Amino acid sequence: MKAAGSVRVRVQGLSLEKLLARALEDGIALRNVERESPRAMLLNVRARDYPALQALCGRVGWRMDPVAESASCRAWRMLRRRAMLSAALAVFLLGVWAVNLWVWRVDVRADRATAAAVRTLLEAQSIGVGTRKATVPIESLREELARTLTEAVWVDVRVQGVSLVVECAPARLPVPGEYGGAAQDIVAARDGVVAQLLVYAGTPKVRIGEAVRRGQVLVAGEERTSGGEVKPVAAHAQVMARVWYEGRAVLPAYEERSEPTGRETLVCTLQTPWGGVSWPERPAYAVFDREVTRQPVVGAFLPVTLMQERYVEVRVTRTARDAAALRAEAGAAAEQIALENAPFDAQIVDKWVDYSMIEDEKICAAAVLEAVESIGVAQGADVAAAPEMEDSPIGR
Amino acid sequence: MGARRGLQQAMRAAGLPDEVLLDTPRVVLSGMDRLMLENHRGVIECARDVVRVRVEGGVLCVRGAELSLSHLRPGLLIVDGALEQVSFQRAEGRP
Repeated sequence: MKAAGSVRVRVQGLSLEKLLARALEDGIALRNVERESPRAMLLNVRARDYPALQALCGRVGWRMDPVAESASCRAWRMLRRRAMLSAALAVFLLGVWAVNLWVWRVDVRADRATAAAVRTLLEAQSIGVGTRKATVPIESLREELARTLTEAVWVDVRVQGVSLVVECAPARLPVPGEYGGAAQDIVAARDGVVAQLLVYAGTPKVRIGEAVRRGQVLVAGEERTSGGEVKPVAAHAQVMARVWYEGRAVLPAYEERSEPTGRETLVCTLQTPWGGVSWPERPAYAVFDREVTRQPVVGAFLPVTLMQERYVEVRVTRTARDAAALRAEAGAAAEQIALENAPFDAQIVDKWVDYSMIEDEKICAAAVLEAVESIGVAQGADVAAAPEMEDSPIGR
Repeated sequence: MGARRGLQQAMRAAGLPDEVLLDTPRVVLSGMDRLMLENHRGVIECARDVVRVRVEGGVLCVRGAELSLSHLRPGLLIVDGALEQVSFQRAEGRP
């Protein structure tokens, strides 16, 4: 017997409206009744009413054929056929539900000392892995922890899934790693002029506005106590300074163009592993362009190649470039080189470009970018050398 | 008939719905593609273009295209499709 879902059936016969009336009389609910033809009708009936409708059709003489079943009907039939599967599924779901009734993990989120105190208190109250969730006194546990843990300003206790989570916020900020440990100075990573000095630990050795060199100690790793003693500390400070990045570009002031004169010569060379033969002789042009093509002779099995060189005599003419455009291009190139020398997060506050002519043949642009950046690094860190002024590859 | 009419008037005066005690048909039309009929007394004709249903006092006729009975149970019937005309034919002798 089908107990779940619905079945779509096709009923064939005469006076199908009587079927509808008889079905209503028998208390059979129908859905999606569609007239397919004068002698056929499609309708949906619940799976549990299917036998009754089938009996009704059999009594009167209508023909009833199932067309389709709903997914729940098919699933119900499958589960009935596989009784063990249904039982196993039920046992599994029951097991999952039962497992969820206990705490299987205790998660304490606090610093080491506080976490140890929390675990001690939980053990004293016999709360831990294997405790039933319903028996964990959340509120009283939270209050007791808040009262007991003087180092925590906030305590939260909650059951999250199968975990008992205890979370504590410390009453003081943690000291950064670099604060503790051996004495350490803050040194300058590059040359600059100090613009801002924020010292969190240590003794400053420079003032705002003072020029510093790379490697110079900015903040010493020592502090004077109230008793007059000097104790070593790991210096911690933020030192912002004005630094400069340079870039130089050299561009030719003339533009050279080559124009063919009309004379050209084709020289062929037959190359073999044992030597080669050329014809005709190579021309004695003063200035020429040369184009070379190679092609194998006969095929890849014979190591003989025919090389053809086309010599085209050219005439080189020099024309002076526009001065304004030349300056603009050289200045832009120098600025780009200076920008490449600066870190990506440098705050550029000023820039300028100087121009000069080299023997009237070339123009040289030197760009300087002024930036403000942090230059203080812990002593012993890799203090990279400041980038040197580089020539522009343009004009080489 | 007079007693029925009197009862109907009394119920209306009291603010009670007719269809609950007097089995009067109640038609609810949603848009032009769904008609719900309460307190019907059986389907007389069911076709793709017409559905006729017996109700208390006559016959309700629904005409349209692609008509189907999405729900059919004792007391409730829902007609879906492109409805074009809904008419009520009184039984002979009924006012």
